[in-house]
Amino acid sequence: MSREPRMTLQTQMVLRQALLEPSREWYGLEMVQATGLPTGTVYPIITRLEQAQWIISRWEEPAEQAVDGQGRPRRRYYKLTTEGAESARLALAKAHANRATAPVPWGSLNPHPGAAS
Amino acid sequence: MTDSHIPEPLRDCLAEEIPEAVRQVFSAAKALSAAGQLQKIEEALRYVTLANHLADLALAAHDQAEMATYTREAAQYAAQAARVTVKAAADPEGSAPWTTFATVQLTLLAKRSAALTRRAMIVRDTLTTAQMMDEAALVANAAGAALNATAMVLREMARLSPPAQETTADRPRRPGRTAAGLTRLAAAVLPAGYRARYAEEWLGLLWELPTRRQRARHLLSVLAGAPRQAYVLRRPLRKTA
Repeated sequence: MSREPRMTLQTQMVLRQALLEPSREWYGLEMVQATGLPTGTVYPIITRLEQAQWIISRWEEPAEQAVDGQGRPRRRYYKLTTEGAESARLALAKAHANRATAPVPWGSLNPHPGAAS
Repeated sequence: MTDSHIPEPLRDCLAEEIPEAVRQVFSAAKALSAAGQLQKIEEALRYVTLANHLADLALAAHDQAEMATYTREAAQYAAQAARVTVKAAADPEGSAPWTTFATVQLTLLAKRSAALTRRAMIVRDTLTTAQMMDEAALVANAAGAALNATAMVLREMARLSPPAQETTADRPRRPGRTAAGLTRLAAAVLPAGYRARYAEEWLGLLWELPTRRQRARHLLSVLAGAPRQAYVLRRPLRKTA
């Protein structure tokens, strides 16, 4: 028995972004900006990934805060675990293989590139 | 589709050239972010992410028609990324340093990305079943080139950007009482053991968002997403065989 988060399109986007640099730590706002997903969507996904132990998290140390300091609150950093990165790759591949034969109607996504050209 | 059914140039493009170009784009974006210019290129980064995702979908396609479809969608998003990047670099307000120093390079890159967009569109319209894979390789190549052009423009923008000057707007600022109160309200629906953690984390994000509009959007999104977050925290992960 394994525990896997559901591979929604948004989850896939978060995982794909995290897998660009699997060993790098990132914080919530970075993921929000990189994927363009709303904060309220990204956090439940991150939580699910953490529950599945695909990612781990930690609070920023005071010494790290001091580097760019500026008196902001500490950040919560997230990072893919080694097993998590492997599971994420497999899950993404499985999600692609399992989906219906008909292609996803990407044309209905907004903004549509064709519309602006 | 097995790897042996994918022509080598197409596989190289989808599996190596495009992901490498995407890495270059994000590397340049990181440098621009350090220069405080990230918000100018957020839209382009979304298109790059989509292009990358679609290139992966193309690699995992079930058949040639599906692969061609995903490839041309990837090319469209890649071309769009190049277009909006060049638009951001052109900076109609004329306040960015690269407007003065890099006009010639950026104009050339703009022309190149526009040509790539046209090429992707033309190829899309002329795809036939018989030539599908060859044409898809051309489109994938155009996508890779558009992403490389995007990375080049971003690198140029980063190179010409002065180090971020700390301004009042950029400096982390304490959220107002209302914003802090609403964040705590959102955290209040979470299970007791998680409230403090998420309240601190969400409040921390508010500190780092530079504009009032971004902070308001973040706040609304957190409020809207809090019930879902509470559900996720209370409900154990579904077990699959």
